[in-house]
Amino acid sequence: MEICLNILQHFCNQPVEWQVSSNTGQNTTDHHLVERVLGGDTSAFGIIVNNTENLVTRIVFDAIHNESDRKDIAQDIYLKAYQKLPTFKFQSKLSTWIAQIGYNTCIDYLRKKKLVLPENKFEETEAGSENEMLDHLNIAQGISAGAADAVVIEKNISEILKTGISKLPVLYKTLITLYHNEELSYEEIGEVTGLPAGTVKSYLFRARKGLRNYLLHQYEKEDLW
Amino acid sequence: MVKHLTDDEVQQFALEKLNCEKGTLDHIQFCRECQAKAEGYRVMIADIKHRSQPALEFDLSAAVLHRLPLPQTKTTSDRGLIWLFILIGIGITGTTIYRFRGSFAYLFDGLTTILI
Repeated sequence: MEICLNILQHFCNQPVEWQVSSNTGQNTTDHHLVERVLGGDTSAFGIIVNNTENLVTRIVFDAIHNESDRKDIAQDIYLKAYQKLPTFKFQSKLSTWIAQIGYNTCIDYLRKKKLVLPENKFEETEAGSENEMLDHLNIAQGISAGAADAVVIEKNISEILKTGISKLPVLYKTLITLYHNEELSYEEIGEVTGLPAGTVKSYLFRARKGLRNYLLHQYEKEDLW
Repeated sequence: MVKHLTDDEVQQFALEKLNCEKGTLDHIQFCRECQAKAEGYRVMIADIKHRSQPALEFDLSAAVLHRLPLPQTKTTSDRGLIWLFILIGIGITGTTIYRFRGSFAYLFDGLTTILI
């Protein structure tokens, strides 16, 4: 059916009103979908949105706290993607490319709202030294570990961890999400965030260490009660 | 004093046991402290992976499609009308030529005199 649709579209050189099921869309290649969108078939862009929505939503939630801003930004990301689609050269996966637009849109928003420091300080603050991140998490350095690790294992850490992640700088949050939840490679995460793969790996180690320290710190606080 | 693994090495062990260096594996086999630390990381990472997927409270796809600019291509009715006008034009011209075919010779009779 889809082949017939494409032939018809090609022949008429115009969009044909036909809603392709999401199941079909999942199997359709990036190339094919992009060609359809560029040919004027906006329903194909709907499939692209559906395929990448989870990834983009995670990026938006990591960066933006305000619900109505999230709504606007999520839409803006896709409108930008639609406008820039003719420039997409298939040098990465379409989802990675859209995630990159998503991440940059969120960072631009934070800069405009002055929720992050200007450019020259941005890199240092977003992914600065380990000490800076520990400060971000409000925890002291040199936390005693050892037996505390075992307690962390036994306790239900989900809620504490959720709070810990929410306190991380946006870049670290995004790295954690893209690596552990979206299972992107270091290279793909590098494309999204504009960082070298080695830096991504190094920042991920730092982010996890910060989270562990946060968990241990929370454990110590609870112990005092 | 025992030299423990670095934090990165412990994380690496928790993440990808098989890709660790032999020295790391040898140490952790006998070091309870590093074992506990690695286990702590393993549990933490597992928990991160099980975070729920956040969801927007509206249909993103529908909202985006609603805001997309309309395609610039011409619609079927536009194309049909264009062809209809072309055919009508051809018809009128053809009929006119056929109807006045005998008069064409006289049309340009006086033209040479005017030009001279």
